Order: sequence, then structure tokens, then C-alpha cells
Amino acid sequence: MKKLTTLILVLLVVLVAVPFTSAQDNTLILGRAVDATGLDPHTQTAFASLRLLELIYEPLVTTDQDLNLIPVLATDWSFSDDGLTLTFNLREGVTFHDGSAFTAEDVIATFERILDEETASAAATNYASIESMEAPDDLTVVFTLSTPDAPIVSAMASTNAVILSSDVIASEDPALVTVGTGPFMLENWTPDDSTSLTANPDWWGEGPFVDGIEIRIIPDEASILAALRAGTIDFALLNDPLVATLLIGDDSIDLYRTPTLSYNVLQLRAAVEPLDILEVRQAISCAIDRQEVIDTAALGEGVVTGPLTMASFALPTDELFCYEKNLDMARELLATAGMEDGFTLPVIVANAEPPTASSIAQNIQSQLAEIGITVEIESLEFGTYVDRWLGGDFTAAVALNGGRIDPYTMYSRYWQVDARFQETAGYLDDTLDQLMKAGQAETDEAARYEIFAEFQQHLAETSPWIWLYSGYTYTAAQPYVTGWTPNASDALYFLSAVQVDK
Amino acid sequence: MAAENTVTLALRPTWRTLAANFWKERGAVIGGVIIAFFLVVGLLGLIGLTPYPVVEQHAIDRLSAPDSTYLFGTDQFGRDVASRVMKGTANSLQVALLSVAISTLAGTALGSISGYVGGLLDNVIMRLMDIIFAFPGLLLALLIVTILGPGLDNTILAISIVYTPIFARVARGQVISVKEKDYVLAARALGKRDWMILVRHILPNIASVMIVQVTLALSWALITEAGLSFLGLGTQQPEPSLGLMLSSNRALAEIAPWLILYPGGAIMLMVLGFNLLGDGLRDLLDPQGRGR
Repeated sequence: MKKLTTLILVLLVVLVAVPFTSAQDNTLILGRAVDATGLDPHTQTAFASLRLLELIYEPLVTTDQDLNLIPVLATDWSFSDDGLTLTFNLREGVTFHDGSAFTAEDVIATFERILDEETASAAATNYASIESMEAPDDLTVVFTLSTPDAPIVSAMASTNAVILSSDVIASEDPALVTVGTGPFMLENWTPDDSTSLTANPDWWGEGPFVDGIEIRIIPDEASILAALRAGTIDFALLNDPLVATLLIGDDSIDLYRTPTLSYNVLQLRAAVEPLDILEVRQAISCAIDRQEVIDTAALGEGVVTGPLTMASFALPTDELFCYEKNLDMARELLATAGMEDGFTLPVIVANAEPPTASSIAQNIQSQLAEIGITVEIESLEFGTYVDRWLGGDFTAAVALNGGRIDPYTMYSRYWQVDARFQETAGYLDDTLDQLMKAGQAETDEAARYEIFAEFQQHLAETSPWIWLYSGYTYTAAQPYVTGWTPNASDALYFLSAVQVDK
Repeated sequence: MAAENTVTLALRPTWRTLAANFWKERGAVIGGVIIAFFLVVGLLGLIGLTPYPVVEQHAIDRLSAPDSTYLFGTDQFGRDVASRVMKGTANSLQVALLSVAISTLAGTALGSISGYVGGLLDNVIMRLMDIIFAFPGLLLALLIVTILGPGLDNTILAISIVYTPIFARVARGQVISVKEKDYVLAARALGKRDWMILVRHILPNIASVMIVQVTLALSWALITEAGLSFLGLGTQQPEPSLGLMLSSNRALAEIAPWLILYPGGAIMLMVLGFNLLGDGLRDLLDPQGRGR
């Protein structure tokens, strides 16, 4: 009898609880393969983390579909004539998720945190010219710069520069407490399983039009595709061109293909023998048909790229050193270096992130075999790969690195003295360092273009890295999901404009 | 007791009658033929007698369907699938054969010593085996490979460890059942050394049971190897393995089904072959099962 009573009680609880736990109809269910690795927006570098955090936090400015800067928490900004003072007017009536008001004090606390070495912020190099900050009133911030810094505003269009609440910075750990100003609020994060976000009812912008977003981690992209087709998810992020291209010609699912600023690259560490010899690196560059890499590894889904991927600065690749495969030249270069018998080149690669990495490595292996270079592929679990990449503990690496709308911001962490990832880059010369410094200080558009044209040619010729191609990112949605505009900087921020009408 | 023993002994087939009866056991014959076929295919793959070198990329011919140039089609790099299936078969069989050989040797040695000596040693060895046996096979293999790192050698080691206990158990049971038999007692009465008795008198009498176990273990080992490679922990790219071919090409299955069909089919047929052979041999060697 007692058992029966317990049973009935349990059943009652289940019956009552079920309607509350099931997802509401107007919640966007989003599937993706990789989960965030952490929640502190200033230190996270993994794409997977940024995709979550950009829903919760907002920077001062961001980029629109055409990569133009648009205001977010700032309404407008201006440089003084000498380029040493940068003033931001801030948006009025913005509140954090905890209800506190957004003021200039939060902006100052945020950038103090980013510049604090103890934070180990991912993008600190980009704001190194900030000398001091002050707030004449609650909605104005004035940055005083040590040197003219043209790209600093576009550098702020980054999830690594989102504004945190000064209260949280003072008394909490931003890796644990997520209080942003963004369109969605984090309700629950179960790592590698699911994340629930609810709409921020007090968001300053127009929207969000859904009640919330439920992110489901489905580790295999083929399974994400199956879930889309079965209708169990509304929206999906896809990275694997092999999977995404299956949706081309499928009328029941909308596929959005967006060119990206990120680039696939074979990083050579010139600090390691025999890659310290210029001709050896150049030979590798000349021996690789980049289009073949795209055709085999990504089924043709990508475009050959030089060091710069943004249309406003990128040189045509035929103006770059050895972008046409030339085996004779490659062999000659190896002979000049005294390496005509070839050598063994160990290459690290992450086993599934991005999904094309292993295939890129295999095609390069096959191509370099033609000039006698034996590529030894070391396939690593993603976490191990990132550790070794950050520590510069490799000879060569196949990598997918993020791009920015400004060339200085894109490479400041690699190609200058004291750059954060100098060890990972593995190469530096005076010309590179000077070009970067000149590109940062120069404000004239045409002059900057010239500086970065030389920068690209210099990088291609010294070949510290072999730039391969830029791929696409794919988002896929059910036809009843409307209002989505994919963005080249991959930002999910614009999910705030999406409507779901099942 | 004595009468029973005589009966059992009389019914135990000799190696000669076994060979004669083998051809009547249809399942065993089919299984044997399948395995022989794959052994030849694997051998050709191993010595490099494949239509194309296994890692050679023909970028222009990538993802071409099976035709007269590429019998089983090509993958996304334009590598010949037929050649890769051949080498993959060789790799898979190599892992299966080597690891089962190791676990047979280790398991039989441990099990027969345990069963023959008995007492505390028996307890220690068998409890140790029980601990290993308590883990599901693939899970334990995964754990071992994760610790040791991926690669062919470690896969062999992992599978050997996983399948040692089953051989130890079978061997021990068999040794216990024959060690009190008259011929063993007689040998002992003649003052033969223990290890001589084990090797000369006991092992040959339990061999038939072990052989059945070996064929069945081979099919499990094949599946475990395929599973480990599928998860990226066995054979490493660009070296082919049947399991790895399945996992790296599964996204392409929709547009290029031949990438999945042939390696998958090879695994299926080989496992079927070993199972048929094992089942057939069991029927053949099991005294109780005679004359059904």
C-alpha cells in the first residue's frame, strides 16, 4: 500500500513537471557540434565559446553584414585631430541582466581588466595604445592614446572586448557569473550537453522575437544534419563542408553560406631546423597547389587566400610569391638550401576541429612528397592541440585562424615584437615589425593599403606560414525561421532579429 | 566415474577424423573459404600488390564512382578505394591475428597454470582476470589506448589485454577437468615434472576447445579494431584501416556510397567468416554435440 502511494505521488510529480520542462514553442532550438570551453569573454579564443558569448554580451561597436562598423553600446565616436584622443558617446537606457544601469564606469572597468596582465586577455595587444581613460559624465568615455592608433575602434568590434559590469569585475569571477547587456541571458549551461538562454525583456534593441534559445551539442555534424531533416532542431551551425554541401538543392532546409575572414594555414615555425632556412620554407610554398587542397579537403568549398582575407585589403593572389605551383622552382630552392634529398616534417593537426584539418594535412602530405619532403602527421585531440599551439610546441601545424576586418588587428598578436603569440608564430623580422607599427599609426586609407600590400608580399615571400584558403561558414535553418542574416564575422548576435513561426 | 571417462575419451575425435569431418560441416567450410579469401586479399595488400599505391592521390579523379579504372571508386583525395580496402584488410587482420595470438598465449598460460596449481595462486590470477573481464571489451580497449596513445602497436596491445581473461577462464576450466584423469595421474606417478605434464599431456587435450575460442575471438578482435579505428584511436591517417575508412567517409556516404559499402562489407564478411568457422569447429569438436 505504501509503495502504491509512493508510485502515485511520483506519477503526479512527473505529470505536473512535464509541461514546465518541455521547451516552449517559441524557443529557437539550435544545434552545433562543439560547445564553449569557458565563459570569460575576455580570455576565450575558441570560436565555439565566442558563438555563445556574443549572444549574452555586447561590445561598444560591431560589424554588419558588409563588415562596416555599426554602433552597439556606443552611439558614436570620434578621434581628436592629433589622433591621440578617442571619445565614445554611450547608449542611454541600457541595463545589465542584473538590472543595474550601464555607464561609462563599466567601460573603464572593462578595459582596465582587459589590459591587466593578470587577466591574460586574448586581445590585450590590440588595445595596448590606451594610456588612460576617463568619464566626464555617465555616458561619455574618453580614451587617451600613447600613439595614433587607427584600427583601435574596429578592434573593439570583438567578443574579446565586450563590456562587463563593473560590479561583477570588482567582486565576482566573470568566468562564473555571466551578466551582460545582450539580447539573451544565460539560464543554464551544461557543458558538452546543452545551454538554455532566455530572451532579455529589457534589451535596448528591437527584439528578441523568440522566448529563448536552447543550444544542443550534437558532436557529429552528420547527426546535426539528420536532426535538421527530422525537424527536431530549428537552426544549426555547420563547419564541415562535406556535410553542409549535402543541403545544396534540398528545398526543405534553408542553407546560408557565408564567406569568412578566417583562413586555413600551414604554420611553419621558422625557429625550428630546417625551417629556419628561407629557401626551405619557400620551397614548401612553391610545391603546394592551394586549389588542390580546397578541391580535396573541402570539396571545392573555399577560395585561395594570401595573408589578408578582407576584400578591402587583400591583394590578388597572383601578385604574391609562388601562388602558382612550381615544382622545378621548389626543387631548385631545396637544392640551394642543401636539402635536395628532402627531410621529414612533423605536422600537428587537431583531429576534428575544424573538420577539414586532417584532410588538409593529408593532401599537403601527398603534395610535399613530390619534392621529397616526408610529412609526418600527428593527429591530436583538440585540447592537446591548442595547448601545444599556444606553447609553440610544434614544428609545423595545420590551423584555422580567425580573421578581422582590420589587418593590424588580425595580426598584431603574431607579427610584432612582444606579440602575445610570437612563440606560436615562430618567426619575426624587422621589416614585419616596422610594417605593423606603421600600419597601426597611419590614418590615411590609401597609405594604409600600400603598407599592408607590402606586408602581404613580404609574408608570402618569407613564407613563415603557408596561407592556403578561406572557407565558408554555414548556417542552416528550417523555413519557418525568418529574419536571419548571416555575418562574415560569424556573429550569432543577429539571432536577436530571428522569428520562429512553427 | 571411470566408465564415464572412457566414454568421453572414445568420443573425442582424433585430428584425422576431424579433418575428414570438416568438409561435411558446411558452415565451417564457407567460413573457411571466406577467411582464406580475405587472407589472400590482405596478403596482396600487405606486400603492395594493389591496383594503385594506397596513399597515392589522383586529385583530378576524386570521388569517382566504381568503374573499370577504379574498381571500387575513389575517395575525396582521388585515392583508390579498392587498394585501400586491400591494405585496410591487411591491417585489420594483422591486428586481429596478432592480438588474438598474444591473448591466446598469455591466457592459456595463465589459465592452465592457475587450474593446474590451484590454491592461492589460482585465486590471485583468476580474480585479476575477473577484474579485467568485468569491463566491457571496447570500453577497456578505449581506456588502454587513451592511456598509451593511438597507433597500431597500442591497439594490438589493448585488444590482447582485453581478450586474455576469456582464454584464461576457458583454459583453466579445461585443465581442471582433465588434470585428475588417469593418464595425467599415470604421468605424475611416473615422476614427470609438472611443466612436462602440462605441456605434453594436458595442453594437447584442451587444444581443440582453445581453437574454437580463437576463431570466435578473432571476430571480436576485428570488430574491436574497427571500433577503435572508427573512433580515431587505431590506425592513423593516411594509412588505411577499414574502421577508419568508415568514420572518415561517413559524411560522404550520401553522395559517394561506395566509400562506405566496400570497407563495411569487408568487415561484415570477415566477421561472418570467423563466426561460421568458429561455430562449425565447435560443432565438430564438441563431444556432446556429436551425432545431432
